[in-house]
Amino acid sequence: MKIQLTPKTHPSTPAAFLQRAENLGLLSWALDLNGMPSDDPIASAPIALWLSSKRIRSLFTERATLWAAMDSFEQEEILPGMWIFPYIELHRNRRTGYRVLIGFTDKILASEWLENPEDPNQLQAAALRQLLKEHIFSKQAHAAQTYEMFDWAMSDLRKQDKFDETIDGFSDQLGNAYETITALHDLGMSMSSINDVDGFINRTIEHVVETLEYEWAGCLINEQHPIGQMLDLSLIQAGTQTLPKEDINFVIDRVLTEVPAAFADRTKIYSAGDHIELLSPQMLVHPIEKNGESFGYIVVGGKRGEDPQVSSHETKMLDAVAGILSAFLINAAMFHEQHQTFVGTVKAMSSAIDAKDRYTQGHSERVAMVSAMIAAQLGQSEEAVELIRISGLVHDVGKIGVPESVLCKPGRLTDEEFALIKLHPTIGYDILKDIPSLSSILPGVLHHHEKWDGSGYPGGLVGENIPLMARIMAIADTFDAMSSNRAYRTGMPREKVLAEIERCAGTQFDPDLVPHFMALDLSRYDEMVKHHAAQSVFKKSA
Amino acid sequence: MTQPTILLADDEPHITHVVARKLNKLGITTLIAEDGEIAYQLVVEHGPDAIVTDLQMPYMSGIELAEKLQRNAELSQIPVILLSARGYAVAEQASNLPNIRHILSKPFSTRELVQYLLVLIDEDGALGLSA
Repeated sequence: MKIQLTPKTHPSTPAAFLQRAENLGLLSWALDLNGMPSDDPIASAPIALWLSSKRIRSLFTERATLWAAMDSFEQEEILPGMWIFPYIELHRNRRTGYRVLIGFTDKILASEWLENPEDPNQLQAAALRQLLKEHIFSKQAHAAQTYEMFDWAMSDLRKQDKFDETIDGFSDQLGNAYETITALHDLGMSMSSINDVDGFINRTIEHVVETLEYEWAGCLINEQHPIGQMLDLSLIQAGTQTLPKEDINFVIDRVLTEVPAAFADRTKIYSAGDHIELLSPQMLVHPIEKNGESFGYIVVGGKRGEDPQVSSHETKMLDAVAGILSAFLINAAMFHEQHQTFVGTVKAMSSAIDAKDRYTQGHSERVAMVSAMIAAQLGQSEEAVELIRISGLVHDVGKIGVPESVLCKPGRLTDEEFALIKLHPTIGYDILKDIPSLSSILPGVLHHHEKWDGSGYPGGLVGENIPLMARIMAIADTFDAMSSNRAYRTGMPREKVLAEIERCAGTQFDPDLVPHFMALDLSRYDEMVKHHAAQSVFKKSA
Repeated sequence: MTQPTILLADDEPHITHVVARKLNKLGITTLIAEDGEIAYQLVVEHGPDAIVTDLQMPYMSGIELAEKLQRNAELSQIPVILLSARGYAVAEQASNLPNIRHILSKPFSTRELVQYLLVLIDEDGALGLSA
């Protein structure tokens, strides 16, 4: 069961004042503009009955005719010993009726108004007198001063009510402002996670739902726009329900063609007609822009909370959120594009190397794949795996500096020729060393021919002095070299290759890494070999 | 069903005011205490469903209040949320007190605090508040 909101009323007579008056023995009665009771008098039953008699009521209706033309009232002794203190009830500065306090002085006890002509024994009057004794608030002589004090209390309490209302208003505004700051702060902090675009959009619209107290929010990015294409984005939504994309598109279309922007901000408010059943009568639509051209929209609907009206607090927050989203998405798209260019360039480079020697067709790609598989098997992070893949792709780039006659020579190499081959890691390192984005993969390129026992090149490094990346690539490189056909020999069968690698654990290879390699499922590698072979046949016949 | 009641203890009236206002709007009754002693008295008298207390208060700190409640089998069941301008500094002390369920650093998000409270006072889901 949900707890219901208690509606808040703003009576202009403070409740505290009525309570105090009652404690002093005064009665209170709510009257309408004609002086007719709009409620029972707050008094015990016999007194209430007496006050409600036609005789007494007519006194009030007479007064109301006079009050209509007056702005402030004095106390009045309406009957001997019965004083009334009328107050105007206001709602939004309009007079809606009167609140009359009724006070009795000792004089009332002698009043013949208490007597009922139809009651010969006057038993009722006796009972009334008995009850009224408890309501005497003042001696007749002091009635005016007492009233004066009431009046002070009334005006002070009214002021206090106003102050309370002001403080409540401040509290709400402050609360809202703080929630907005918290939300924007959180978004600002998470803007750097550029790789998780969906996650960031989700976070953003969840903040909108939570902070602005809406049932639903969605972010729709135009799939045709380069940013939408680059990031492969469409509709992401948050809240208590999921809306069909057509409905969101419909709302956006309508808003763009029919609705002028609200004053001074860019949020457009769509009021649902008969066209479509929406989750709320009003939906907010705010553009996400790049250079003044919108490439997406934040759409919000289903306002919760007390105030059904959309406020500028909300449109401002939407404006800020859309600005942050826009900056993030433009950045993310740029980053993705840059990354794609980078990967494309690296791939082009590796194809260029492999093209020099048709026997090594696809070698770089296969070394990249197997190295990445070993790294993943080791439990390395996604980024580290990606780095090793790139390092694998370019590890032989230095072969560009080795004459083709040596590279493709069938049969044994002379010592001089082998010395030329041994230069390729260093040449590769020199080619790549000035590209900042490749700096972290250089150890793999430079050291992939080092051996665990120190007999490798170019550095002759031993054991763990060889960078991990290079130790991994050494296994992948040797595995693919032994498995493939070369100018001087045909590929070795799988069992023989694996046995050889296991045999060389601790001499040529890091003995801790070899078991990880042996644990790999090589079916993907075999598929890639087939794929490369097919390409190679195609190339030869073309 | 009786209305849930939450005790708010803080010597800064604007803090209790803002929180009370938000809770009252949800139909939750609030009790306000200006120091730890009054807070303890109100807990004994009214047995609120949850307590939000500041760390630094006159006469009895929020930690001392939680300790005192923890020593009483019945009162130790009432979940406490501790507010502090130095949340990190009290985390260790608070970790020994199972009744302290959350620590929020000031300034805190009222919305977040209210969400925690709704979950705490409705752990069995009977009120449907934390849905």
